[in-house]
Amino acid sequence: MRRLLLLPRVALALTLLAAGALKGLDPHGSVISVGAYHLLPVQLALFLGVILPAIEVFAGAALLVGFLVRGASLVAAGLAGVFAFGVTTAMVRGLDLDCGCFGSLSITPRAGFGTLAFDLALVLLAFLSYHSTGATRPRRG
Amino acid sequence: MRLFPRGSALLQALVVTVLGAALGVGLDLFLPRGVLRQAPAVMRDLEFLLPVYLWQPDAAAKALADGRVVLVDGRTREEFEAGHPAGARHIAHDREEDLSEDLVTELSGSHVVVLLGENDFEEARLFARDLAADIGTERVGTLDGGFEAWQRAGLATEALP
Repeated sequence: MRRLLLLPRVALALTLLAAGALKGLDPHGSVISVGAYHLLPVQLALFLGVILPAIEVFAGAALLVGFLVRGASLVAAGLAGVFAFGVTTAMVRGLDLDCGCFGSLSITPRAGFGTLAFDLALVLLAFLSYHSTGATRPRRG
Repeated sequence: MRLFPRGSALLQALVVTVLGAALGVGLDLFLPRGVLRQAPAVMRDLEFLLPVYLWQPDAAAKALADGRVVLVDGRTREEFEAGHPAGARHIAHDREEDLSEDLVTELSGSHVVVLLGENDFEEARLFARDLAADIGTERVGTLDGGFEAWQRAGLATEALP
């Protein structure tokens, strides 16, 4: 049962590591992906395009090795929530863009309902991962 | 089960974010392909990154009939001749020659919606941006589902003899 509770955490960790690493391999593409949403000033889009992949990798690695699990789960939920917000606004504005979730190796070729469902699934995984730490911690006394 | 995070969890999240961001900035400055060292050029790319809008076939057909958009079929000449949306212009997206001056003058400033094949998302987006730069417009879009979606919607098509 305890191992079963680790599954969401491991799945989330691997997803974040893959997403961050693939984006990190193409930093220019990562910045352009953020800019394509046309939500932020260019300076902020540039900065976010640089730090987002690294935050994903760091949070993914933390989840995988069991370091700062609750914090990393919160960060994962926050990132997925922000991505879901970006995709929703793009859909509302009728923008045609690549979600940029996995760099140039996108699972979904276009930001849309599929991407939104994926982001919401990540929020759910983050929620389960956050609460898995309490369940797997040995009880005192 | 607490629905909202404890204070220590928020602090952990802050630590993960700050360390991750520091790692990102550090790596970017260290790597030769980093973007921070060429920030002015990258910011120029961002400033010129036109938003491309996604058009559904019905909406595009109505806008075309009202004269609000120019529909450009970017598929090959053979595909265009075999059948294309009624009223669409043909400009091959993989053309090697420049557009004629007459065509550039005619289309300049128009709202251009391009179409390619059903699954050519990326190519259509790139083609739309390239065409926008060539003809001097800031209003571009792509047709969702390309020519196949146009046909499935039962909209008018025509073929060249």
